[in-house]
Amino acid sequence: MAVDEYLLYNCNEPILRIYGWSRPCVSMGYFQSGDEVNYKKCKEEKVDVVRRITGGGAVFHDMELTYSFVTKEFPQSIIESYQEISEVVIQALKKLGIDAEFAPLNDITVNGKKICGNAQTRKNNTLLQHGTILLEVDVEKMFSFLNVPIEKISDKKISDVKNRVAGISKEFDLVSDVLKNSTCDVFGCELEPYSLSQKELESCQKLADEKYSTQSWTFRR
Amino acid sequence: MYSNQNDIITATNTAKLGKIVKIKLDYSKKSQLIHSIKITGDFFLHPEEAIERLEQGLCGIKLEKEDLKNKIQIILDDTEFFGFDIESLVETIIKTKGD
Repeated sequence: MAVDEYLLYNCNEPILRIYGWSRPCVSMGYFQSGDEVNYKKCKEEKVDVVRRITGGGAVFHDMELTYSFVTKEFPQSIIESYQEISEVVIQALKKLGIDAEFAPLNDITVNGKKICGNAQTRKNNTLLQHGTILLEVDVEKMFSFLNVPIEKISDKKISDVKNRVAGISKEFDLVSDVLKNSTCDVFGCELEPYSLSQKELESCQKLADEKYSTQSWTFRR
Repeated sequence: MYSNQNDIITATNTAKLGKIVKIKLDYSKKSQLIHSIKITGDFFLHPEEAIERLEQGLCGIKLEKEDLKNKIQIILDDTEFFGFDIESLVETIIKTKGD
């Protein structure tokens, strides 16, 4: 989260960042209250909890590929920008023989099941959209860390809610490669590898220490 | 819902609009004015900081449909939001106080 925010405020060229998680984590949306997360369970299982700077719902990050697009060139329409970036993911999955579709506002589905969720913010005339592609899903485990509001499932059984997410059952590196290729195809660009400098890493660490790892940020709402 | 000695009632409500919207409301039973309000959920609002502006701006507003609608419209005028609309947000806030 700290790296994403750092890039949002310090991006000169469009950036595609692809990453995973050193250990499982729950991220919650900017507007969510802290009670969306089963914090006790997270603590017991050593699952980190972090609040995003983007809206949307709580996400359990585990067996997934996470990406961030950061750019100063983007459609002003929010739905169009979601659609444009989602097209990269849809084309990437197509290369893997997976027929996915954009499910506005911020999801991508396969056979009606959510396999990818996104959230974006715009700051400093820059768009940050981060998203996750689920590779494998342990639905029981996933939902054990989240407090799903009863209103979300009031007209459906909990099992139906759980059945609405799925993984694509592909390897991280393979998905990473096709995502990079489809970024080039969709945006007509070439990618150059980029590593954060020591100074940039220190700035990210400072953000992590002073913002993202603090209780005042995580439980601010 | 509970009240304290100062006539302030605390009430909560959760609604599934486009997305989930949760309201935590402190209001005066006597005057029906909002003392404080917290609006949380998995919705999207751009820019995000407008949520604090909205919550602060609603303090002192009467829990009546037109008053709330007018105030919310003014505050959210230069924003974009997904997962709720102003009418349903107003309705959810009104429902929070109950009868």
